[in-house]
Amino acid sequence: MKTVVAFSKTLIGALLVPAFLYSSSAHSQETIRVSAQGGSYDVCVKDVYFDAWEKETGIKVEVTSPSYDLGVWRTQQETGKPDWDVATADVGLLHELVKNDWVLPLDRDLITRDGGMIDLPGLIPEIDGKIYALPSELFATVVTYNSKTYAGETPKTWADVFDTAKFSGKRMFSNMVVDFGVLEVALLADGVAPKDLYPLDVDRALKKLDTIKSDILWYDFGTQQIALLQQGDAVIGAGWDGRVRALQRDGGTVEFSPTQAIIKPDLWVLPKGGNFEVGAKFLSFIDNPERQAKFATCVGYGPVLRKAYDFLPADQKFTVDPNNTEGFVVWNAEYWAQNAREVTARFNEWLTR
Amino acid sequence: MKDHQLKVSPLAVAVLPGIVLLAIFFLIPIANLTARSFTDPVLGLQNYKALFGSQTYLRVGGRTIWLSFLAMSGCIIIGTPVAYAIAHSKRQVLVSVTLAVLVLSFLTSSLIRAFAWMILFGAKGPVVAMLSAAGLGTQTLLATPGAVVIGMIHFLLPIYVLTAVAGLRSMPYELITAAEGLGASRWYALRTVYLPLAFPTIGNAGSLVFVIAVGFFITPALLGGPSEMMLGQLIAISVSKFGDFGFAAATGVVLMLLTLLLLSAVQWLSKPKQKR
Repeated sequence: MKTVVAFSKTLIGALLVPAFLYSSSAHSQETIRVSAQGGSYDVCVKDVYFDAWEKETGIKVEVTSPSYDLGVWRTQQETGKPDWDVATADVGLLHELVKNDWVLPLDRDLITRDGGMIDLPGLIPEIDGKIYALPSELFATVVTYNSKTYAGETPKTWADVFDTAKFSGKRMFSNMVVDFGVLEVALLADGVAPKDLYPLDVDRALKKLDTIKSDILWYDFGTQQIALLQQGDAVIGAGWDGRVRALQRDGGTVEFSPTQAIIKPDLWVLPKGGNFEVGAKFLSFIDNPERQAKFATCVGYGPVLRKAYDFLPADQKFTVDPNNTEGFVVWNAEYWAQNAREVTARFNEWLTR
Repeated sequence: MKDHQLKVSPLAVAVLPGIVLLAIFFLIPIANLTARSFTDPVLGLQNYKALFGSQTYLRVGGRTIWLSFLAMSGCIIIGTPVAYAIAHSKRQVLVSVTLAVLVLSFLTSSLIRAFAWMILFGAKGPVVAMLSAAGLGTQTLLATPGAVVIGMIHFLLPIYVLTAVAGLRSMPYELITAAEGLGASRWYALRTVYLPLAFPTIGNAGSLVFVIAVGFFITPALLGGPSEMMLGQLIAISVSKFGDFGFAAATGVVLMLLTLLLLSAVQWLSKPKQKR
């Protein structure tokens, strides 16, 4: 019987652990909790932003869970215990967060400070006249190919990616239709001009995709791009510029064409229930041309601050040239905010057919 | 101790902590999930209507069951002889080595294993090289049902074998010796005496791996294409992209009920049948 009592005590203790952890992780002025992103992004964020921030302010950075997941946001907001004072998001996620009232509006001064952002329409996500996010770098979905396979003429446009006669081999695309633009890509390949892209003609896009369906390898995660390209399972398709650059650094024979790139800003947001004061301070800290240039060089995604381009090494080129923003497509958050569910359902029906 | 004193059965004491843990960490969440599928976002059957009205979910649900069934069959065919050998072999070294290999592969993360198979089945992998040497050229084996099922079997086999060994060890092996003494060949004795008695064990171990297979997510995502998509992937999308907890819960509930139904069928089939 004694043992049972002792065991029950242990068990009750074990059950109380989560509650204890909860109370002990309460905010203190000395830490800021920032969401993780994964991969090389986390390494660069630490090297360029966190270390300098800790040195300057004395506030310790605690990297917590990833925040690119609406389910996680919902759970945290329902329990009233957000895991972050500052979190990263993309434009599609931002719209959902604002709709649910889970992020706080920011000071407009962040966006317009000393010269501000490069001139790309739709770069600054404004919702109902308020700004809820700070863009920090540009992430692009680009025509990606194995430079050894196509040593002669290289693919440049999305139409080339769909031309299986001229460029044979398996194509890779993301099956996350909301995020990574496979429908946009199909329409551009079919000759739709960037300015006429939205609202998307989903039927036309799927019909175009049908023409190469048997040649497509679909990836679920960004990591798979690297694996598929490195192994030669896929030799052409849609990749992300930063990932391709990372692979080039590791000696991979990959190349990308910036033509018709689909651009999306990476965003920083302040979750409701987090420490707003220290979060806003952190955003001001990273909204700095010199640091942003360093970060962009490290991670391979282009900066958004106009002045950051002056601090780049001479040989450092990014997908978007700030002096010439023609010919790119900025991923349209308003369209997707309204149509994501329905279009995803239609796409998945087509995909699994 | 007096006779009329109330005795706490040691068995009850032994199972109590397990039951308490299950109730707190399993039954309550399941009840919660089920409730959510009817109440989130609003009270009603809309989540189930949407689910059964979706071609995609019906299709992917069917494939999930089919791939899990194939993986289970693979485990039974490959794993049963191994379990039999471990259960009855007198060669202690062989048994220990086999068990060690099984447990070691079981300890490797499923993500790492799926990535390893990605390389093995990939364009530069040995399997493609062997096939093209045999004149059966193919560019890649990724996004094929074969790749997914092999990846699944690799993950499930240790679980199957370890579960089956426990059951087979309790089998009266003397029956085989007796049957041979009465003039049966080893094969005949195995087929007519041993196997029918081993059916419940095989059924149980098979059911266990089937249940685990139905919830697979990372293996089909990395090794399969759209034709090998499994429900776990769709559930993940509805949670992480749309925060649709109610719909995801409904999918989970339907999958759970379907699994229970199939399991009872397996249990019923693997009951020892009386010859009349």
